Amino acid sequence: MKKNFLIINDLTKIYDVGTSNEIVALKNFSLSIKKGEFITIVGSNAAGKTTLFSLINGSELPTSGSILLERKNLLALPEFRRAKLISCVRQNPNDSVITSMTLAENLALAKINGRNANLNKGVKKEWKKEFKIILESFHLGLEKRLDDKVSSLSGGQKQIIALIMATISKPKLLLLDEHTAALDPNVSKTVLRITDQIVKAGEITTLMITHNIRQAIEHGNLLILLEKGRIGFKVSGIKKQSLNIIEIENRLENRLAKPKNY
Amino acid sequence: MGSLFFTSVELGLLYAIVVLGVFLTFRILNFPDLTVDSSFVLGAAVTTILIRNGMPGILSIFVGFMAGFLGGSLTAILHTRLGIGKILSGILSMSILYTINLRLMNGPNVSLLNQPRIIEIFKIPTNHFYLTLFLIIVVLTIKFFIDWFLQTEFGLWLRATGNNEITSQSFSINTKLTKFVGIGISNGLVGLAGGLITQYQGFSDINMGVGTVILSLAALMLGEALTSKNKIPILTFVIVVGSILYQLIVNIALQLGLAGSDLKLITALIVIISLLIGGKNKYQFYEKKLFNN
Repeated sequence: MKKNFLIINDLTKIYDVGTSNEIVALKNFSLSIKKGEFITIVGSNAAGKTTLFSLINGSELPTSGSILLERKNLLALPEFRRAKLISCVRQNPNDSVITSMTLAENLALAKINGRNANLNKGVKKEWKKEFKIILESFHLGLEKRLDDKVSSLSGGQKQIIALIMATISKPKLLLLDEHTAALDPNVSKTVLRITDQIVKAGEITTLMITHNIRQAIEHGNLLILLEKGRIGFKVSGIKKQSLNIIEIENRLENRLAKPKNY
Repeated sequence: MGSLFFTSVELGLLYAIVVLGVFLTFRILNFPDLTVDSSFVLGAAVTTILIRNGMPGILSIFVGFMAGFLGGSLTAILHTRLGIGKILSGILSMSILYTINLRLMNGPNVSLLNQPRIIEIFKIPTNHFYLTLFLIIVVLTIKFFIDWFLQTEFGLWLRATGNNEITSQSFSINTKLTKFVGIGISNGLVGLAGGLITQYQGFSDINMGVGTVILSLAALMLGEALTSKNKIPILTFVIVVGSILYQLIVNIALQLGLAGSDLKLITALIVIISLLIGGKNKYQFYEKKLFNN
């Protein structure tokens, strides 16, 4: 398959252009990926990871460059229109779900995603059956809580619901913005296991930002290290598996004088 | 005393329509909408003028709604299209509508004396019973409409917008549209109530809307203090009860010898007491709604 599913070309984002506060968040970032790839992105703070996601999902506009998803110019679409194509799970468990609504209502919102809402019943009976089957497949007992408010769930459970919501209407692209960073290590593992399960089952093209190098190596097929808004290196396959975690951690913390080239 | 009770219930039911509208903006959309003070008068003014020009009173229900909806959409446009803050948008359209209302009525007040009003079907004032029954039917219809509406797909959008706008956008919800519709319907209900109340009292006045927001909040909080449940059909019911309770308290206070000019103080006391009963959480909730924008 050709690497033209998502093409990011020469993407640059500069904040406060021309002032003394000028910050180059992302510089000439280019990346082409094929459908179904799972890419992990690591980088220290201010490396441009979150900026990259904001530019893809439309919450910010780039200074220059282009993003094409299946040859469609993403930059021409406002954020709520891009949401049809791109789903996002954020770091804060309260940011990807509607906490004041029930699980079933949240999942219904995700089902409606991509079209205009009408005046039919929001949570349809057949949908509810479908939600139950989906939730049962994760063996977490969430299927019994369909009528509970999402605010009553734990952080990990919220992220799992967010993942299901993000993928239920089969998005073209899934963005995971440190979605396990706010969880304790065990819960984080469960959420990542379910992430793998969902991404594989739906063959969803995924970009995952993480601070955890081990996670970035264990999951996904391509690892990108971002440094000061540029790509530090890209590795995949056996090379990626044999990466030295400590070395990369050191590199992220700028302890090595001359970073080794991979 | 019987008449006092009926009057309170009637006014409570009439204002319950306003409170249901305010519930949509304050509680569902997280939009502290101050337009209400003026869209209430707008509904009243338009209804009065049209009745004086021969419109049957019963049509006022639709006309009041439409007028209020337009008033609300002004706020919604200021906020969503011009990017003006929530409170300021409300204040601006409140001033704009104040002038429009004066122009419409061609003066500070217009009487409906000797005009055919909706309630005259029930031969007021001799029969409180039928009037109350009529109002109960109107209010319950609106209550069930809101319950139904908020469970529809669009209703889910509206509720999501109020809870978390950014997340809503990531589910391709056009939050400009949901706010427009929500604020519109809310003010529509307020205008409708204005149209009914002007017929109930027999005149409309430029100052009749002053304090509508605080009155609605008092009724809303009084109602919410009655329940710990958070389900919409329960909330829409208790706030109707809250509205009636509010009028009863006010009328009893007046009966006990307090002057009409003391009413604002009583309203404030009701808000404070309801907040204390409702607990600290609810207080923070309202504070967030009012000042965090």
